[in-house]
Amino acid sequence: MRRISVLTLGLSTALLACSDSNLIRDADGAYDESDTGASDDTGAAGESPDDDDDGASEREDDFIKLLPATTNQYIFVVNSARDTVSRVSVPSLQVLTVEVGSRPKVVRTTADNQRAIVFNEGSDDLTILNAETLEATVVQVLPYLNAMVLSDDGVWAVVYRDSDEEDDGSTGGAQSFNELSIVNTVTGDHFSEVVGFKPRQVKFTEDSSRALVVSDEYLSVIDLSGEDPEVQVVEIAEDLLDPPPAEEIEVSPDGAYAFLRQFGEDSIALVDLNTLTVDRLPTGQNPTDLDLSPDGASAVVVSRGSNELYVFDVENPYGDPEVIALPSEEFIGSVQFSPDNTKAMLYTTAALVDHYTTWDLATGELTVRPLIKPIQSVNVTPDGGALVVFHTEADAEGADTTGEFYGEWAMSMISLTDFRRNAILLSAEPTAYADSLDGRWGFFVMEDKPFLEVLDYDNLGLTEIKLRSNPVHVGVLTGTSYAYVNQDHELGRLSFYDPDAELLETITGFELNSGIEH
Amino acid sequence: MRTPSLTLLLALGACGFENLPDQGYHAADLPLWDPAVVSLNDAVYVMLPHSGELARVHPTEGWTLVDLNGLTPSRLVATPDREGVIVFGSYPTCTETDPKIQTIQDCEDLDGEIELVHEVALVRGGAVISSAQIAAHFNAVSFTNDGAQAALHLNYDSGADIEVTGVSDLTQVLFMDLDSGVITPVAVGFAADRILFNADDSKAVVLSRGEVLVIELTSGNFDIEVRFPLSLDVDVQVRPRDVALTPDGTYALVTVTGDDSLYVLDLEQESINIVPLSAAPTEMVVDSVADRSLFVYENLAVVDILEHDLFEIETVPLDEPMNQIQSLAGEALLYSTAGRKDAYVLELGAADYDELRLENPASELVLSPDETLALAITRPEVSGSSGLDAWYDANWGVEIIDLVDRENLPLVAESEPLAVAFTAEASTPTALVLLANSTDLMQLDLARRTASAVELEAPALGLDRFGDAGFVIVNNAQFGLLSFLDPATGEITAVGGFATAGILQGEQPLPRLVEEE
Repeated sequence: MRRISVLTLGLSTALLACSDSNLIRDADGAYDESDTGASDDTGAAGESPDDDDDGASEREDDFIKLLPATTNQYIFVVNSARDTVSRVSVPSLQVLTVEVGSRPKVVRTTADNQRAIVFNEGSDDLTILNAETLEATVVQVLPYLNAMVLSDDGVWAVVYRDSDEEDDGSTGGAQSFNELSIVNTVTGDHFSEVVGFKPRQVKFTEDSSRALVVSDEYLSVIDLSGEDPEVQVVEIAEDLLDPPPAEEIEVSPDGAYAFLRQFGEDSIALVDLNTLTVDRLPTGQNPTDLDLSPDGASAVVVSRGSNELYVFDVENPYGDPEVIALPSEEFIGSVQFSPDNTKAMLYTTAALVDHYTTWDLATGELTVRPLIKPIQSVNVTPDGGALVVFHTEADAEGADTTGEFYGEWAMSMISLTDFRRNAILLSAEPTAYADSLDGRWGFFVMEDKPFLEVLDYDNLGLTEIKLRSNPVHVGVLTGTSYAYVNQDHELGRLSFYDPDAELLETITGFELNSGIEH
Repeated sequence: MRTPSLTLLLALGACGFENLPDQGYHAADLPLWDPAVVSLNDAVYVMLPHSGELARVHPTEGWTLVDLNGLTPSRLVATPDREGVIVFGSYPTCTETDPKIQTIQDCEDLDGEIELVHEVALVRGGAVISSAQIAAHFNAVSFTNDGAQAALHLNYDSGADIEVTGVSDLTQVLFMDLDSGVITPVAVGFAADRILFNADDSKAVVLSRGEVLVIELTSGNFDIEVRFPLSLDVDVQVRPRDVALTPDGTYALVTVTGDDSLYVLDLEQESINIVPLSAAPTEMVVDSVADRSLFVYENLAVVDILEHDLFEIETVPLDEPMNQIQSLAGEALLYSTAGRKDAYVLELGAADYDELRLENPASELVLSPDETLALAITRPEVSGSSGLDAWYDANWGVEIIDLVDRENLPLVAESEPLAVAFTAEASTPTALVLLANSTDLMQLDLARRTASAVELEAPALGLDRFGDAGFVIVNNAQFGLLSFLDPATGEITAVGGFATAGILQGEQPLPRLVEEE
C-alpha cells in the first residue's frame, strides 16, 4: 500500500488567486479547518484512500491572474497606487497612460478587443475604456464590492463582494452582503440586484444570456436577455441552517444545466436553468473536483473518498452515470482534460503524492505514471501536446533525501505523446505561468528571480532569459506567442519576449506617461 | 586662456583740463581687452572691458569700434554660420529723470541711483542688426541647426555668476530670430538650462528641473507640444544632465545627474522609457553612422553602446575608465582627461576596440578634419619612474594619434601647449601648436614628423580659425595684438593697439538719455 502525506495548506496566495479555485480557498490560499471539517489527522501521512476522506480541498491550476489584460494588440496594466491604467501597444511598445478611478483593482478586456473595463475599488465605479481611443465612461457601482467578472461577450460586468477576497478595511455605514452591481458595458447602464448571502462565484452561460451567482444557500440566476436584468433564486442547500460551502459550478454549453459541487456532500446539485428546479445526483464519497470535458459532452466528478470517477451525460444528466473505479492505491482528487478530448490527467494537489494517472478517453485505460516530486499544479498545453507540472517544495514520504530535487522547487514537462519528461530543478517558487495559444511555447517566472523561463514544448527544452528586475507576472498577448513580463519597478517595467525571434524588449518607467502633458 | 592683467598708469596729457580726474593718475580696474575673442568670417571681435567697447579687428582693414549704442559687452557668442555675433551686455540708466543728468556722476550728485539695463544685440558685418532688453540672468545661447534662430537661456552650471536684477523669472527662455532680431519669450519649466533642436529645426527640446519640454517652432507661436515628467514624486528631484537626439530625430536621450537612468523620450509617440546604464555617465555621444549612442563613466572601466531600435545596451569592458568620447563616424575615440593614459578606438558595430597608451595623461584632444589623426595635449604627471621616463613624465607634451594605423607618437613640449589645430588645406597634414610663454608658433608636418617655427610678435594666448583657411593668434600684449596667419604661405599679419580705444575716460555719460526722453 502506498503511503501519502497531506500537503501543508499554508500555500502561497500567488498560486491561488485564480478562476475556479476561488471557490475553494480562503485568504491564506487554503480552507480553514472549521469550514471544511478537516481534522488534524485527516489524510495524514500513511493514510490510505480507503480511509475516510473529508480532508483538504484540491487546488486547480493556479497562478495569479489578477493582472494585466490583453487584446490582440494592447496590454492594459493597472497601477492601483497611482490610479492609472497604462496601455502598451505591441509591437511598437507605445505607452499611453490614463487616469481612472481611485484604487483600480482589476482590468478586463472584452472578447472583441474593443473595450477595457476597470473596476476601481476605492471610488466604487467602473471605468469603461475604448481600447483604441482610451475614451472613458465612468459608471458608479455599489459600495463595498471587491470583485468583477465579465461575460464572454464583454457586454455585462458583474461586480460583487467576494467573501473569499480579503476585506480592504473600508468602514462606513450600513453594508449589504447580498447586493451586487450589474453593468451593461455598452450602454453604461447600472443595475443593483439582491442575490444569495455572500456570493462565492459568478459564472455566465456560454451565450452570456444569464449570469449565475453562487452562494452557499442559493444559486441566483440573472436573466440578461431582457431590457433590465431579472433575478431568480434557487435553493441549492438541503440544510439552509447550515449549508455546505459551494465550491464549484459548471454550466452546460447550451446553458440548460448547472452542475454544482458542495464541500462534504456525496452528491452534486443539478440545477435545470430553464425550470429552476434542483435535483441531487449521487457521486460517491467526497467529490473534490467537477469538470466538463472539452467537447462539453460529459461532466466528470472525481470522488476522492470512494476513489471513483462519475461521468454524467451533460445532455441527459439524469441518466445513470458511468462510474469508473480508480487505481485502488492511488489518492486522486483532481481531473484535467487535454484540449483535444483524447485523454485526462488524474492527480491530487492535496497530498504529497509523486505520481499521476492518465486516462485514455477512447479505451478507458488508466495508467499510473511517476513524477519526481508531488504536484503543486498541473497544466495541459493548449494543443494538448504536453503536460506542465509544477511541483511542491515538500517531498513525498520516502523520497530519496540525497536526490537532486529533495527539498527543492521543481517542474516537469511531459510529452503527452510518448510521456517522456524533462524534470527541471528551480531555484525558487514559480509564481506565474502562461502558454502561447498555439501550444508551442510556455513561460513562467519565479519569486525574486530576475528571469523569464521559456519552455519549448516541441523538444521539451528550457531557455532562461535574464530580466532587468524581479518579475511579478507573466502573460501572453491574446492570440500570439508574444510573452510579456510585468516586473518590479517603482515607475513600471514590462518586458516583451518573442520566442520565435528570440528577442527581448523592455520598457521601463511607463508610469511617467501619466504625467505627460500633451 | 589667460587674461592680461594690467594696472596702467595712464598719462593724462590728452585730457581736457575740465575733465581731469581728482588725481594725476588713473588705475584701470578692468582689463583693457578680453582675449576671449570671437572670430567670424568678416573679422575678429574683441571686448574691451575697460572702455566698454567692442572692437572689430581685420588683417587688412585694421581695427574699428562697433557702435553698440552705449551697450557694454560682457559676453560674445558667434552664430553657427560665423557671420554674426550675439552680444550680451548692459548700459547704465539713472533713476532720476532730471534733464541736467548727463553722466553717471550727475546722477549720483542729484541723489539718483544707477541701474543697469541688460540687453542682447545681434551684430553682423560690424553693425548692430537688432537688439532687445533681456533679464540679467540669461547667459547661454543655443542655435538651431540652420542658424536661423537662437534660444537664450540660463546655464546654472555657473550658478555663482547668475546675475539677478529685481525679481528674475527663471522659467523663461527667449527665442531670437537671427534675421530680424525679434525675440519671443516662452515659459518653460524652472531653470531650463539646455536646449536642443531636432534635425529639421521644427522642434526644440528643452531640459528643465524635473521635466523635458518639446516646443514646436514651425508655426511661430512657440507652443509647448508635450511636457515629459522625469519623476512623479515631488520629493524626488531629477535633474537632467545632458540630452541628445537619435539620428532620425525620433528619440531624445536624456541623462540625469547622479543616476544611471537614461530617459528615452519618444518625441513622435510621446512616451517615456527608462534604460538602465552601467552608472551615471560623464559623457554621451550619438553616432549617426552606426545609429548608436555611447556612454562612458568617470569611475567605471566600461563603455556602454546603446542601439536605437530596441534600446538594448551592450557593455564593453575597458582597462581604465574613460570620460571623453570623440565620434569618428561608425567608430569612436575614447580618452580620459582625469589622469588615465589609455585611449581606445572603438568600432561600434563590432563592439571591439584597439587600445592605445599615451605617455602622459591627456588634457585636451583635437581631431583632424578628415578624422584620420588626433592631437592630444598631454600634461605632466607625478612619476614613479626614473631616467628618461621620469623626465618625460615631468613635461608637457603633444601626442600624434594615427587613427588609421592605430598608433601614437609622443612629442615633448618646452612649455604648456595652449592650443592645437589642424590646417585645412595643407598638402601634407599639418598641425599648429601654440606654446605658453613662447613667441614661436610650431608647425608640425604630421607626415614627415618634422617641426618648424613661425615667429610671433609676442607670446600667444590662444588660437582660432579665421576666414576659410586662416588662423588668428591672440597675443599677450598690453594694448591688444592679434596675428593673422595664412598657413599656406606662413605669412603673419599682426594688428595691435585696439585696446587703446577709449582708454582715456572722463566722466561716463549715460548712453541712452536721448531715447529715454
